[in-house]
Amino acid sequence: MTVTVTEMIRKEIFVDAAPETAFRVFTEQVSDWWPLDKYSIYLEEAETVAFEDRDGWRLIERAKDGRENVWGEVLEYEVASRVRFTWHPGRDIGDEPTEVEVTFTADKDGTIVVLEHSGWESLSAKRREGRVGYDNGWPAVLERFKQSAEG
Amino acid sequence: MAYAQALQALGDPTRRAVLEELRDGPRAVGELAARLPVSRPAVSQHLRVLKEAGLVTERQNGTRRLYRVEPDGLAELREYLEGFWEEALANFKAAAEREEGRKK
Repeated sequence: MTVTVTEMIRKEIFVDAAPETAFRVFTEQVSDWWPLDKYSIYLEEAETVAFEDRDGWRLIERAKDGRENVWGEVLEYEVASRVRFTWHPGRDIGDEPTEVEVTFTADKDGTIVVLEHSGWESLSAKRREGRVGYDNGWPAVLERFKQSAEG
Repeated sequence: MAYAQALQALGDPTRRAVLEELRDGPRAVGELAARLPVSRPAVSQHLRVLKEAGLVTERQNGTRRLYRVEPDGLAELREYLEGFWEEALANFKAAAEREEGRKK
């Protein structure tokens, strides 16, 4: 019975492009492919989302009026090979982030991209008292998603 | 709405801890409070939120009220997250292939 959220989510996709290209598009051109209108904190007011180097690389969403929301921090990366970052859109950095790791592996003339979203199992928060507040980020996003999905 | 609520409910570490305890089996409020560094009223409050989010159900068992994990709630949340990454990656694939095309 235990289908749980705590298992890692794993997605694999073949991209008909070299690992260098795939890596570059993933890390330097996030706004080109991220469905910002649906998956973001500021939704229709969102302008960009990008990895930016500020005290280390961070994934930052920016609204048209200049507001910002840090979605995650890059933990490590290897050009054309992999990138690993924390993941906490709409929440504070310290608030038990989950983690995303993306690997780029050459395969035939293209690249196998594997994305793993883990940390749901880090319920190591178990013995810790947590803050009660929760920014209104994702729930609003999800509601929008649901609406458009059910269109 | 269910997964939005579920995700919000799980945004709190204490609630995740409560849920984790319940994965070991049905528990009463008092048992949960004894295992976690939170008061009984706080546990009750967290259980209420988890229940509203469809992640936990309660059942009267004699004189005891037992709480247990609702597997459907978790499955729905997981499904949402799966779909979310699938869509993002499909877009990414298209963008990377366009970019590669420009290079060639």
